[in-house]
Amino acid sequence: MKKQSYLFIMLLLSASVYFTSCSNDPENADVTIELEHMFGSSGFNLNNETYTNASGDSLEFTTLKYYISNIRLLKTGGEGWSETESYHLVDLSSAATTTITLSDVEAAEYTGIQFLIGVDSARNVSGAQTGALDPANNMFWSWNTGYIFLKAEGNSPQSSSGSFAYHIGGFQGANAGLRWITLDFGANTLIVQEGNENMSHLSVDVKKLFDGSTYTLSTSLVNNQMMVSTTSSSIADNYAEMFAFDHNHN
Amino acid sequence: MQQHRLIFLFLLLVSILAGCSPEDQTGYYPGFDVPQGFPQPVYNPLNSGMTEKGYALGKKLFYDPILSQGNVVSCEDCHKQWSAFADGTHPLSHGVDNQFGARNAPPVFNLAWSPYFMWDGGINHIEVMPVAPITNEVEMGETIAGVVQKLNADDEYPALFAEVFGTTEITSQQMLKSLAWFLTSIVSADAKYDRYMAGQESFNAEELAGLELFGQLCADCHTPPLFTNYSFRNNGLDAVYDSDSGRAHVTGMHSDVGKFKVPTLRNAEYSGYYMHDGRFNTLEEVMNHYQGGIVSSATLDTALIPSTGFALSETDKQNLIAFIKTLSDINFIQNEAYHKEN
Repeated sequence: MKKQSYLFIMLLLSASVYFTSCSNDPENADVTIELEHMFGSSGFNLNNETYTNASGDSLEFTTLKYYISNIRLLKTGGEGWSETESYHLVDLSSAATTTITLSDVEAAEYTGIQFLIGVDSARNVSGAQTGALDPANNMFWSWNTGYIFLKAEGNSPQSSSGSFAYHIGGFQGANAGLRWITLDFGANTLIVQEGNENMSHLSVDVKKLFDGSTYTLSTSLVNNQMMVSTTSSSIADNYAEMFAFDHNHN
Repeated sequence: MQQHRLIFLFLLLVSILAGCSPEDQTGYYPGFDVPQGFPQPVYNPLNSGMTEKGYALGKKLFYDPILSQGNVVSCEDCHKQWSAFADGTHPLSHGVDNQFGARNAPPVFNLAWSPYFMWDGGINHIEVMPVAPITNEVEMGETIAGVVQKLNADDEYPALFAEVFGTTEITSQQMLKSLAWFLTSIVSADAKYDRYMAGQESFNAEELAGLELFGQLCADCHTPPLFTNYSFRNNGLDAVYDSDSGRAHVTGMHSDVGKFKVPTLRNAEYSGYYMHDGRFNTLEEVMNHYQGGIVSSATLDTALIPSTGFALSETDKQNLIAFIKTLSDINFIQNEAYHKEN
């Protein structure tokens, strides 16, 4: 009798250990996304560095900030993995923000990445937000509710004012500034599992903000854009072209 | 012995009353109820977590100039309870450095039912509404980060926020939610009109005549029970709207030039000045505008065409004003729940 109950307890214990270890998902891992900002073939920095776009405008940036949201890692045959509460403010004045860490990513082989430039409409109509979406981040239009998705400011002698300021947003209507980005990893898939490097490098070419495939932005013609319009929508088309997949580390 | 018993009873009564006194504070907490005949609100503060302490915190913020640059201007400076939380003293209000704004400060009540805010409807949610006056250069001239920093450094606020939100660091989200709770708890639905509709009070002949005229001429836009339908209309104030395009300022559409949100007429007796720029001082001037002052332009509201205005006799105008005054809610104006507390 005593032996039987001892065996029973041992069985119960081992079962509980088995089930607990199963629910831990030991394979899951954190993934790091590195955003490498370029201007054409040069490295990109704010302040005291001058770049030239295709229109011949000389550009010195004092501000570059933008939202990346709704990040999803894609995989063949399946939904992929989506980050919850996925709102990131990339601010070039703060180097740490150019690295995005995705926590507890499901172990799998991923073929690409998808994300939104901007803040989805739901969060534009839901009242006071916090974290990356805190209006204290100065990426919020107070007089006409909505987030600024990308803010680029700086100096350019070709501009009539000597400077440029582009605040692009708009979460609804034909000229909305929301842009979905989908990047294919090709043969260099991201194999997420504990023990791997789990790192994805994306390049961000700021020159494309000016020199897109369908629209050319020149500080001599447009030096200030802060309303939602066909122009802001064209600039959004351009920023959608800034992002490219570079390489993964497994 | 008898005396001892009386003393004991007296002491018992005192201790019960003393024990009750913290409860008496609830007299200053209105909670939130949908008044009889009102639709469901757009924003119910109870559904977003309002408590008595949360309400009190929002009220404290409303009356505190800490929200402004240099701690000089509070919300109340332009939204005074005796004026139905409109300005009352200025057609255009002045903010930091005595700068004047371009628009008349609107009254603040029944905001829980408002689908958007400001004369141009540019703000889509009560929780983000205060960001505009706080950060506007000529109103409170602060930054959100600046306000949050001051609140966190304050002697009182960290403990008050911690009691409401259970966190040690004050965030802008907490500040904005608290303000939204207070603002949406300000309700006016106890005017003579409401008692008339409930069969508790009767109208005199003037008021009855005004009610009938109002139904014919005004109620399409100033629709009961909120006395606005929240639409945007050009009511013929000007021929051009170069200095303030109104609704077009947020939509960018030519068809919206000169259109402004239809204001509620509840408490209009208290909330003058009138129109988006506060150009009229009295309800008589407003009546004269609709009678003979309407100016034609491309976006003039079709209800006001031909632009000669409504054929109102002097008696008609007095009757309409008599009716509008039945929308005055003195209990709301005097409601201690909205008073500043020290």
